Amino acid sequence: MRRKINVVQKEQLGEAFMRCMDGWLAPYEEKAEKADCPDVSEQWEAFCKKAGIGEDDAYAVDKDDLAAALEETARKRKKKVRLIVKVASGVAAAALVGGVIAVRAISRPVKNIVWRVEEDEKNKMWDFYFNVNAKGEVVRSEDIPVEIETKYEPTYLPEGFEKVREFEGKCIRILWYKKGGKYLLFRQYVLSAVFSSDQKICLKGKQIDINGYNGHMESKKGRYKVILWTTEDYQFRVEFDTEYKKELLQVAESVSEKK
Amino acid sequence: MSKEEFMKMYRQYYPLLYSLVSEYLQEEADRLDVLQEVFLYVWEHPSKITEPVCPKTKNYLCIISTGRAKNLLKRRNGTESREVVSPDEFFEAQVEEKAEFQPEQNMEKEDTVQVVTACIKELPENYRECLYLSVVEERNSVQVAEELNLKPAAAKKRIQRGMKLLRKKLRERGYSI
Repeated sequence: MRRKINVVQKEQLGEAFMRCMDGWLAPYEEKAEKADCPDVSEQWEAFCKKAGIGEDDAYAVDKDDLAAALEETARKRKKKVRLIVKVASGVAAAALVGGVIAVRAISRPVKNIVWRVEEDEKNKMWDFYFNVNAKGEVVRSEDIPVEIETKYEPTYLPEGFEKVREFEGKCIRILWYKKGGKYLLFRQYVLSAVFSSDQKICLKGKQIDINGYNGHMESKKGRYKVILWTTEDYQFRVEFDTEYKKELLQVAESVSEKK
Repeated sequence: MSKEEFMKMYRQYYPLLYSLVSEYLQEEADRLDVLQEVFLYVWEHPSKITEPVCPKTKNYLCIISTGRAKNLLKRRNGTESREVVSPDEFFEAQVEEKAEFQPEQNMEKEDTVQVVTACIKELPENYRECLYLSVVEERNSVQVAEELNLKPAAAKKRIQRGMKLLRKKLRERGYSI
């Protein structure tokens, strides 16, 4: 047979505790009447002194209530400060985010424009050097030599200049001519090897004609004059001191295939 | 609570409390100190008292007085053996006594309260005090700790263990909380 379980209600539990207390305290209450208890009036006076209770109508105020009131005031103040900080942070964050978004929004199209300009410039240069020769004829990539096969040299040199050094690479050839402390440089590139900042500078210079090919003349670092021109297979560059501008043109025009 | 009300309460319960703490504390000065401490606590926390003179207030004052007296005794005479008339012994005797006289044909409600009372009386005193404050005065463990001068963790443990033990005892008698 299943045992019945009785559920104890909260009130019943409370009542039971009260009964317990009654039973427990009953003998002490009897003792209290007989016991040699100190004079309560004296104790009360001592207590009033200790608790700071005066002659006037004092009133017990709950310390917890006071503490709670103080805490509430402090909490409200903190809440107010927090709100101000939050608003300030929000404004700052919004300004920051707005600023970043604005910068991003602007920077992207600007970057795109710069990139496009650069790409256009590169393509133009590429076309200039590789697809279209100085005569404006389209050059097929398979026709462009990848190595220097035919060697060119200036046949005219200003008085006193002598070749002092020569460098030959697979796709570049450089000759140094010297007179005292002055140098004259001659470079020959295969078209696939040209594309540098130097050429960019040269392209900005004055356009000139070298033996029927389009060329440019430009100052390099203010100390040298550079003449650059491109034929069907190669690009040539002659660099000379600024004071020999006239001779530089003669040197460039004298460049021919070495025999 | 006004000064007058407080004085009424003080005069009403001071002799009982003195008698109670005398069971734990030998020294007169200790007894007076504990009672002053208890009344000072109540003066500073009047919200703990609903009515100046009522059974609940009496029980509450008795509970916190004995709790503080025991703490003082523990602090002062940690190793000293003191013959204290434990309320547990009193309760044990009372339970046996009541068991003999309990008519089985009582009303169900009355039966339940009697059984629960018997179970509470079997609980160790420390648990009973904490449970009383928790159940009757509806205090949380932190408040119980504050009123009995205990560490919050100790008060919490006593409430938990006391309730567990009470449940066990009630279950044995076919009751549950």
